[in-house]
Amino acid sequence: MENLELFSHHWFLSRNQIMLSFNGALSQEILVNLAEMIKQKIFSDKPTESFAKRVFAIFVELAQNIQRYSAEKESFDGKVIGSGSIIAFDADNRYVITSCNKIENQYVEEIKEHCRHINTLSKDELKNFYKETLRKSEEEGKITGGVGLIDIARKTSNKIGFHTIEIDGSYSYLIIIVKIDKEEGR
Amino acid sequence: MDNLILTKTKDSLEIDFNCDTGVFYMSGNSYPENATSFFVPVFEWIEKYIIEKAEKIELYCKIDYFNTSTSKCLLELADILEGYSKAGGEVKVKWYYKKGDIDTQEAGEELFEDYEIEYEILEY
Repeated sequence: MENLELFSHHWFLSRNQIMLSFNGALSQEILVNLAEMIKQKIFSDKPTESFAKRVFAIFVELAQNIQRYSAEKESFDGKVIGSGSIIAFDADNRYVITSCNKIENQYVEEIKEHCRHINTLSKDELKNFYKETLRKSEEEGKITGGVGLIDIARKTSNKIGFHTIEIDGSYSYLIIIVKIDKEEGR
Repeated sequence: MDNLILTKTKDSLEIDFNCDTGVFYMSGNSYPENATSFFVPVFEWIEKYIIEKAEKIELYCKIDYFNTSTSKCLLELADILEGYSKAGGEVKVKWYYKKGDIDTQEAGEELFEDYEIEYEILEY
């Protein structure tokens, strides 16, 4: 990477108030450290434990979705770990956490429908949907067990943003955007 | 049988289950890479306790954060406890949440509200 590119990257991170940016295989050790880091940063910015924990929870679910379900995998310590990107930034009135990972095209519609559906639900409906889905998800490998996304939706009053970008005949990128208002109360 | 002692880690719970007193403690955070791998031995131990000891179970939970995979495992734990309770076993659950931590308070309610288990949601 040239100096100008590096500076441009640094400038981009700084200008967009990026609190955390990670790309690669989300090993558990890395995930734990990133999660703790984001929790600390949020807490120092807004010293309410329950709020920091909520952002932490959203981060963990997004990161573990990459870890488990990304179609791009790396061998790590004898294990196969999902790879992707996760970014957290401060957007003044809110925090934003966004993830990006490869998924197989066969799952695109299913995941999008799941997100669309979640976004239509009220607080109580989300609770019920969460409970139902939790009961149903027998196998860990079920792609739209999607309980993680339901849990995320319960932790923010904003709708979950989701986009897919087709790469080729086999894969697409899945981008999930979660916004958490700083003034989020109960 | 031996007690079940698992050391707390950053992403997995401290487990301290005493087979003589029937007092079971679970505390810490739970978001391991594979929650099922963590909990299966815990369930097996409890089932062994139910068969071999058949005494009371007093479960104390002080779980600060748990991920959705753990949530699924906690349902299975509740299934086991309810099964024992219905079969005549004495089961009491105390779920603790830190003062102000509504999420954990509600998580406890949500977990046990559908079960026929004696439980309390308590602040500390």
